[in-house]
Amino acid sequence: MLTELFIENFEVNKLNMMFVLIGIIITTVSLLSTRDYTYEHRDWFNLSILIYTISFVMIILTNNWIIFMIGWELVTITTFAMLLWGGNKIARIYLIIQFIGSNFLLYVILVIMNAGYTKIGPIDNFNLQLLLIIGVGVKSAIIGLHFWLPIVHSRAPSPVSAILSGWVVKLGFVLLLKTVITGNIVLFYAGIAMVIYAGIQAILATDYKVLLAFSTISQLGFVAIGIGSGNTYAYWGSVLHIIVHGLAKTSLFLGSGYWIKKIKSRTIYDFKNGWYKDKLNSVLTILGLLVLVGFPFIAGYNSKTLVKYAAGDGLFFTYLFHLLSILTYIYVFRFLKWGIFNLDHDEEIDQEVKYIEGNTLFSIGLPIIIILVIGFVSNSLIGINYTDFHLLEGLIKNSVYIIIALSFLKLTNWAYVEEKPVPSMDLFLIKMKNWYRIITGKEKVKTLEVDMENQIYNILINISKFVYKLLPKKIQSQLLLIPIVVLLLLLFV
Amino acid sequence: MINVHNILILLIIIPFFTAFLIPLIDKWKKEKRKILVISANIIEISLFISFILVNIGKIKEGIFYLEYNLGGWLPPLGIMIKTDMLSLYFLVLVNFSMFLLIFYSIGYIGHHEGKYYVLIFIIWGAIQGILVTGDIFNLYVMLELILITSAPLIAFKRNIEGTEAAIKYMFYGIMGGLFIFIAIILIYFNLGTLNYNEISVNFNMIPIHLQNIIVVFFLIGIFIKIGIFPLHFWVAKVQSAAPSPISAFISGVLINVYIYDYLRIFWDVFGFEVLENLKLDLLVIIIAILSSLIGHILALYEEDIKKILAYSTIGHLGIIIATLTLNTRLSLIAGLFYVTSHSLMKISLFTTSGYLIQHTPTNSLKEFKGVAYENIIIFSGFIIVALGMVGFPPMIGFISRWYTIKSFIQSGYFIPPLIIIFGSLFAFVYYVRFIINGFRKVHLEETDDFTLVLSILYRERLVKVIAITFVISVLISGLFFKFLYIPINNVVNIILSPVLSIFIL
Repeated sequence: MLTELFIENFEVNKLNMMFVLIGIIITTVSLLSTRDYTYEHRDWFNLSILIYTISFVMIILTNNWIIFMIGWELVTITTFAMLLWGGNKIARIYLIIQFIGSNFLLYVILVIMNAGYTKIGPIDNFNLQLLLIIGVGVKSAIIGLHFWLPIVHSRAPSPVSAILSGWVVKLGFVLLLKTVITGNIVLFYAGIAMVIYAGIQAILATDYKVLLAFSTISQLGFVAIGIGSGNTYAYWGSVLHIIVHGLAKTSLFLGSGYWIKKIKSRTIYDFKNGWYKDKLNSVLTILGLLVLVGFPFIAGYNSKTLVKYAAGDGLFFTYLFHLLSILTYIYVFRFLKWGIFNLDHDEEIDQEVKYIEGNTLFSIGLPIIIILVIGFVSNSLIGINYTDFHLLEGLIKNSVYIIIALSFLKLTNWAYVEEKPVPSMDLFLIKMKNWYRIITGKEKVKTLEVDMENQIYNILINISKFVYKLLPKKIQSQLLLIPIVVLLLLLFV
Repeated sequence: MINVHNILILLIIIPFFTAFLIPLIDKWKKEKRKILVISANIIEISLFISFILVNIGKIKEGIFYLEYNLGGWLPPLGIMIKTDMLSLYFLVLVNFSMFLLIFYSIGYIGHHEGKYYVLIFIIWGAIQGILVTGDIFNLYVMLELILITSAPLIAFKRNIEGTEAAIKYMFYGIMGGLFIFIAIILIYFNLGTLNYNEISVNFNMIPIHLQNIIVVFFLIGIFIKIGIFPLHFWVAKVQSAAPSPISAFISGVLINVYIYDYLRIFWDVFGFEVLENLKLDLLVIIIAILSSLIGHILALYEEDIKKILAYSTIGHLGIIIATLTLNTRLSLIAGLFYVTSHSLMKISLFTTSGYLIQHTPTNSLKEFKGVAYENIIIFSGFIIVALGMVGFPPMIGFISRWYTIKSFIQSGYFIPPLIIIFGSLFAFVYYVRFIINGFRKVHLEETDDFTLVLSILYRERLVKVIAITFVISVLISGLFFKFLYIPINNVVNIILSPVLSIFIL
């Protein structure tokens, strides 16, 4: 009976199993690296990781909407639980936002089911596709619904950021891969907007983890482009990019934790002499970043080559995609310049700080090794016949990109930006308020009287105060309502 | 062979008889009362289990139906007992909760209060009577019996607050009972019978204008008892003033009984077409959804944890009534799921918070600072159930919400689900507010004079065990909801074709 139930509700094919495998690798690697962070209540942390693993496996394998939704909500709860180790406030905000998002997704899924799509499978209706994209958008940071991601991902403990950025945001796209097969033009343009917007934000970022968080949104944009275009090659490019980027971002975030521990700062300008401080970690970080830019011989190149088929024959999109690649190059090189290769021989380097080793090396290095392997076997991973990735052409293209990116950076003093505070919900709210004030022509505000959480709370409690005032307080008038209701009902019938 | 009818009647008689015996045994030896209460409880529940086991074959097929004329008198004169899958489902729910709640009371109230057990056993008997009877006047009598006996239980703390609440409860209860009574009288004068089956066959013979009055009065009566929006004012006060086991009992058990009445009267006895012809079903849905929203909104305003839970009951009850009134197969399944989940979860919330309240001077939210450190297991149980209440899996709350919203969308109502979701945002905020407060650390100064006001006979371990049992039942029913689906489906078969059930035997 159990096997029947399993066969009925779960779909085990090569694609799904690939996702499950990669997800488990990412989770395991992140879990291993938590050993370097002495967390209190380790058992609870491990338990939430375990439930998280089960639930994302459920999400990926199932073809049943209800099991999908159970997994989705469980992922929300368990990631919330993991975030608790990084601070209560950020976790609460995350839970509230995800609660609203997942409730909307539940509604959307039931509307879709009502339209006749009783199993998870291709959806033809454009509007339903759009609803679904908005539904998964809160967790998967589609543009417009992404505002929480840089805040949460940069403030979470590094292993948790690795899980969130490496895999949790991909789960929505895994669903879109199964449903939006024929492509969706809105998703396509949203992807382009994500790449450009988040790329620019990453260029302006001064905090390493914020930079990584924005680059996550930017890379998710490529996935969205691939799915949204409806092109078969681009579709499989998205599949490959989900895997490759997941592994790379995990490695980068785990590495960032190590960097922060070593340098005792998160600002990229403090990463000075990074190459001398830790050569091994530098190599791994550089490799991880090269995956993001799509350098030939590394799997990132393969996935991006495929995604770029989304342009079709259009000349405009072909050039636009070149521009997107250059954008990625710019933020990566900027970090390398300010961070790792800002060599200053006069600075004394603390020799007592040891090189990266042990568990951390394993957990940062393993994803990179897997990516390097995938670079050579990627055509066997994807479901279409595609053998030649035009490496020579890619090399030439990428060198052009590099030249343009470097000359841009040279012209702008390596895009030096004043050091900015780490983003928080309050800063976000101030920004929103100021936008509103600019439109209405008022003066800008610099501080908030109440923080974001209390702002939401105050709105809700004001509604309830209003309702409370409307209702009668005295028992006489309360009882008087009974005959009134009776009369109304009798008049109605 | 065991006579199944006798078991059914014993189910009603044993609680009444126990209630009668308790004062007598008090005259003799007060220490023995404990034994009587526990053994009556166990006998009752084992009788019920044996009743199920005897009929297990029919129950599995979903064709269980039992009719029995008391004393051999035929319906127009005698009282008929009628039990089908619908009654049985609610019997299971109610008896499971009551069985555990009596143990909880023994731990919470102590066994020195003889009156308490007299009253609670009378209520238990009355509930069994309502669920088993096939006679509409019997229903009324039992409803009044519940009202009269539950009012003193609400005022059981013997303070001003409790007395006020009990009086308010009596006002509202009597009003509700009055409407039901008038409706029953109208039926009797027109048809000359009080039997469910005979009413359901002949209901169309009543003149239309009288039908309207009967239906409206029944609706109002039941709405007052349940506490739907404009008639809900007694709920919060009563729940706040009553001792925790009684709050749990009202919110988790009595409400179920009233929902059973709603289903029985409007689907089985009157026939749902009556509501449809009057176009009342749409109105009921609107009122109920509005009530749900207002319940959740008001809950956020309250500072008293038990009032919060009471208003959340109003919020969930609105959804239940609206879902049932949609009257499709899926919506009835959803409604029954919701009844089950709400009953289990509300009882576990009241029992866990009842434990926590023992460590604070008042029920106020501000006093709950640091309550989590008193007992982290109970508090995490509270958190689990609260998350289930707002619809997180794997608790059963998620499943019931899923089916509810699905049934609304299937019937073409796209706005009510959004209202439900908006309401649950409020629910989410008020639970989170409570939980945050629970984890907030307090630094007691030496000057703070703080002593716990505990009853001497308060049994911490028993209270804890029962509370945890309810939490586990919520988890288990959520994980294995597929097993709940089969009996609920059978029940819905009976609800949708009630006339058929007469001819099954």
